[in-house]
Amino acid sequence: MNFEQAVKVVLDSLKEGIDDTTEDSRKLAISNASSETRLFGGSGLLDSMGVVILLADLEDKLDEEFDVVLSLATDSTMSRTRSPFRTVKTLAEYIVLAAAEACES
Amino acid sequence: MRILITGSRKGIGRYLAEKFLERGHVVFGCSRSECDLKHDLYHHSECNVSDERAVIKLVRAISKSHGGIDVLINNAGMASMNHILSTPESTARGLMDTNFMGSTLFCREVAKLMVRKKIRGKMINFSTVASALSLEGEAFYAASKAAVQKFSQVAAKEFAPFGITVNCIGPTPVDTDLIKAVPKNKIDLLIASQAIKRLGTKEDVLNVVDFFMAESSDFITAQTIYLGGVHD
Repeated sequence: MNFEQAVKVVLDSLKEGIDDTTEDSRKLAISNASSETRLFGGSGLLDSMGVVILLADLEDKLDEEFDVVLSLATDSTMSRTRSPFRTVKTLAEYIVLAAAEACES
Repeated sequence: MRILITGSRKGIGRYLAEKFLERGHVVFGCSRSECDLKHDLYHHSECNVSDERAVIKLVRAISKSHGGIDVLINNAGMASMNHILSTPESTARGLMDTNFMGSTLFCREVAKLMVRKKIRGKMINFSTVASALSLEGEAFYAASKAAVQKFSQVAAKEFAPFGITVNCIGPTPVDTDLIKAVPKNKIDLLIASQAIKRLGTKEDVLNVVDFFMAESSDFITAQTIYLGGVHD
């Protein structure tokens, strides 16, 4: 899968979870999200629980849409400084790499 | 209900699978090797429970074919009696891999599925009275099961916001292959330390499993119920 596809998967997953968000400002931020949107840490859209739910949704989508079975949980996933969940872009880059590795193994 | 039972080829896992099938539930079972249990509602997979990729694939396959899992019963386990000084590293690691890693990987993957599908599921993990009694000769086995209990308590808290409960059953020795290699005098000593002095039965285990998976048990989580009156 390529970077653009990965960005779309992340944004789709974010937007599908919008109904579970109670804050109006967060709903608006999610609906306007782009590849530069901060996800986790700082002023990110997600708290740690949100990251966990997004992780589960993403794994599901990657399997359903791209037939890629992988676990996105890594030692760095929940790190506020190195986490691939920092922004939509870093997460998409991470997914492209992880998917390629999963396909090789 | 859709029930996933690990280690369903024989022993307690097989018994539970047969009982739930009799009741009309859909049962997904797994074991390292083939299973001769045949039933329209039974789906078996060969799976090493400590193999992360295999566990992910199995849970994903169930998600695709049946849309979710309502109950996870982490029954697969191995036992080994040995003095600490004479326990090979491979045995110690094998116990931790099967008993601890196996249970935790299934909890993690099934929890993801339950969260995605908004299923208020039940998870039941297997501990042992050997943990509560700190039995000599079972250091690694008891430690691996104590780890399962502590994991279950934390998982109960982390999964509670999603309506998922996580509990443990701690069976006494039950007449299965798991205790075949244990000398009779050791079993007798263990039974003597129970409040109710007899071997456990598969029916005793089913009784506790039924309690944990009952819809009315949605306020019961992070608990371990030992059979035979054993306690921490």
